[in-house]
Amino acid sequence: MLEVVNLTKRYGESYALNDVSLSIEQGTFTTILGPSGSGKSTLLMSIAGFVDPTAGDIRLNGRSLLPVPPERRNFGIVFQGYALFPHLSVRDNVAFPLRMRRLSSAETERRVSEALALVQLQDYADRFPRQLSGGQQQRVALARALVFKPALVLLDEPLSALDKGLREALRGELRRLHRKVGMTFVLVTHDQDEALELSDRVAIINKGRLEQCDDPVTLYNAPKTRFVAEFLGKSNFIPVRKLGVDGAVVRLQAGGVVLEHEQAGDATGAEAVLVLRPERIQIAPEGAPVGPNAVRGVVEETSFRGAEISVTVRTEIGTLLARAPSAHPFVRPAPGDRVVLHWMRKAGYLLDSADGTEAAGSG
Amino acid sequence: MIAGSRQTRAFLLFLTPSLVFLTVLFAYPVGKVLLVSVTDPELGLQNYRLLIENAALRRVFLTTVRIAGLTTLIAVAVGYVLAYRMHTAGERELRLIIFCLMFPLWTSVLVRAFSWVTLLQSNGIVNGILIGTGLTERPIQLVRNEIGVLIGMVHVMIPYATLPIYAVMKGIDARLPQAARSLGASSLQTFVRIFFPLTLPGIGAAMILVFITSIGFYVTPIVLGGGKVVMIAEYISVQITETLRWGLGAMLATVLLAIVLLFVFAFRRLTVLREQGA
Amino acid sequence: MNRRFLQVVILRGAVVAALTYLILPLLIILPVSLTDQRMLALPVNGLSLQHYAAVIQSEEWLSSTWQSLVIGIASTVLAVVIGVASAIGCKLVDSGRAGLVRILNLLPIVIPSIIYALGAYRFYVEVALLDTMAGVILAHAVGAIPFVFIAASASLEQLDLSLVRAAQSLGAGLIRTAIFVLVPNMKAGIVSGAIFAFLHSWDEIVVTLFISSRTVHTLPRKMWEGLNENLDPVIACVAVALLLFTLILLLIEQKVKRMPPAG
Repeated sequence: MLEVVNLTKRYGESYALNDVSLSIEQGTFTTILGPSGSGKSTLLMSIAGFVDPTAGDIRLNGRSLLPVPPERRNFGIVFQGYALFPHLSVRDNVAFPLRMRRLSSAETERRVSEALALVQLQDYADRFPRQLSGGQQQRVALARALVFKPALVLLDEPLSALDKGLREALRGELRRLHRKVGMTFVLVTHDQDEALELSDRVAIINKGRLEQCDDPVTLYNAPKTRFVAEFLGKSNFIPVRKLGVDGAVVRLQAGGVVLEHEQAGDATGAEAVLVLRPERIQIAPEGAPVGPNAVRGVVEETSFRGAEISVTVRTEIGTLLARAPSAHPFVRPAPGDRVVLHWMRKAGYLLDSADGTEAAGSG
Repeated sequence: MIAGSRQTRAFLLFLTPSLVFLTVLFAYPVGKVLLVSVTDPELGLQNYRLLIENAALRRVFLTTVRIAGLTTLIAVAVGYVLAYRMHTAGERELRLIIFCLMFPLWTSVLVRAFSWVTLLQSNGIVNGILIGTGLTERPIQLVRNEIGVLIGMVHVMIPYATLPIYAVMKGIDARLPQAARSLGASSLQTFVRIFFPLTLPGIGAAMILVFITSIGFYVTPIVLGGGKVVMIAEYISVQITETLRWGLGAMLATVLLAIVLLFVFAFRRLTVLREQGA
Repeated sequence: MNRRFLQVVILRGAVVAALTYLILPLLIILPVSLTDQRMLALPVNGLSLQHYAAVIQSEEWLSSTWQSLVIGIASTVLAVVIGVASAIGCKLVDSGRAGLVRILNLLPIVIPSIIYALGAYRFYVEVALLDTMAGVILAHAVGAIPFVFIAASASLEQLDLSLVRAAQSLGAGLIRTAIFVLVPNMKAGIVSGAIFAFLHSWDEIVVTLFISSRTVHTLPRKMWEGLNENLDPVIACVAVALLLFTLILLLIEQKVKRMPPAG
């Protein structure tokens, strides 16, 4: 198990990492997700041993890694831009870590062809990196990082240099590879879809701080901060005041409307923010029979996005964004239409007002 | 590039001046020298036959190649160390090293040769210090021999050796050494297996540049060799100004030029091949 | 840990030794020029300006300096005009057609000066330019063109050619495009090239030795003769003057390089 304990990295007055703690279980796929400049690469390079932290510790199975130089950490790294050695063939690139470990030439040869087979590049062993496409180079970098059976595989934005179609294809391949080799993977990326699709756990970093570390479903449905909610797709933020608790149901006051809300776990303070994903909001024509949590409004704008239509509605509790399947048989909202927006009690997630506003300022 | 119809006009406007100027004042005179090597004193290859027959000529060639070769090895070795330091140094130290390279580079070779004589002659400053500190009793002969010529020529050539190597080092992706470290290579192994091989093109460029420049050296060997160490350029000038053997001088100039151009061409081919990735 | 430390010490030591080797011969001339002795040596009983006085009072040295300046400036102007035009031409004309001119512009620094010296000598006998100011100016310009061409081309390298297309679409012809669009963006390169061109002429000795004799005697030529006749501290004074000039021009060049383009 890899543990990052209160890790801090300061450059002069500014913090690249500020008191970050994280633990990564053996065999899992963990993604460190954050916007550029958030400190996620500093975190990865600290784990790799190329950045000396100012404070805190990094431990592998209980032992501190800080005194261990990069070449003795035994971590496979796929660098951004791959960092393939241009003067070595594919075979020699992949054999490099084995030669550094003085494996016998027979063993080296066996493992290299095994690793190349794993990424389906058996036929490219004698090529040089510049003779390969971006996707192929990426797979060589993977093979090189896996071939010495490292304790941990670190991937620094491995897909960012590729175009969209290839990126999606390689995502699938990366996941299959992870299942097949069963090693611990740590991926750094700024791409939310990549993080959600690939990972067992996602750690979201912003301005050097860890915002939240959870499995993708929890992150999406129960963001702990406004930053997390905003970074993973669009959300509506409705300021509310708590009126009272009635069993599992919390009653909330938003503008002139009373909303009902149900949420597992402890309720927050009196002032709160209700986070509501657009796709959880239903649109109905005015006057249609609806349940609780109904607000009336006028459609301001619609935009067609293929599978769905997103609709901006000015309501009595503020402007809300909703999404409806574009193939919906009845609902064809157009600007100026009067509609009712409604949602189920469990559709939203209540955030402490403080969490909501603190992160709100960061945009 | 610009549209085809304008190409001719642009060529006439911007390129004709240098084409005419350099053809008349440079290419034509140099071409005439090459021609003289087969026409003086009479038409034929007799001047080139001397290359095989004449022992003194062979000695001059040998001296020239030996001194240019040694200069190349020493200057490139020192240049590599300096370039490596520049590559790893901070801003201030980098500026200092660049200054220490550029200032001599642009200082007249004559001034530098003069200065070395002042330092190295038998009643000069270096010998004064050596005798004064009791390291030696009699002055050591440091000029009017190959040591003096080498000291002077290496000094001139170090900037030429350093800059191409540094340029190549600067172009190396900083992630490559990191990648090697992460794959288990020690810092020494990283240098030997990754960094050094990647700087080989720089070393090649530096060696060729230094060699083709050293081989035609004139001022430094004359001043520091003091007539004892005769390199080809000095020998040529003696043929022209003293013995008036134009054919011989022109032949040697032609051979010198051929060697230089051969190296330049070989180097270009080398880089072209590398870029094509064959 | 110890081995690492040793590696660092050895590397640093080698660098310091190399830099000392590079700079020492340039620095040593200053005290030698201030010597109170009658021969080339460090000052013994104190500094003296006697040798500088000798240079300033010498008709010959002064006229050499004057000639060197005139030749330097004239050949620089020639080389800059021709070299900058070629750099622009090579940027605008496709590389196939410009290739020959590009090579021709670089050849004078590739070919050993002794070869050009022979050629220039023979050619000048033919056209009666031997031992004339004009002859030396032309020969120095030939040698300086590559420096201007390289510096000017480097400053054009980053320039986007769409700038040229934009200028033409707005109605500028080739000449006006060059003067109003390209040249202002090449300022740093042109100044660098001019400085290197001047320094080339200021220090040139090999070709000058062959094509001049009595009428033209540049500073390096005068120094060369002094060097072969008697090693006089007066030469050290002249060397210091050459050195200072080089240093000043180099510092200007560094300043120009660090300025943002087209200020």
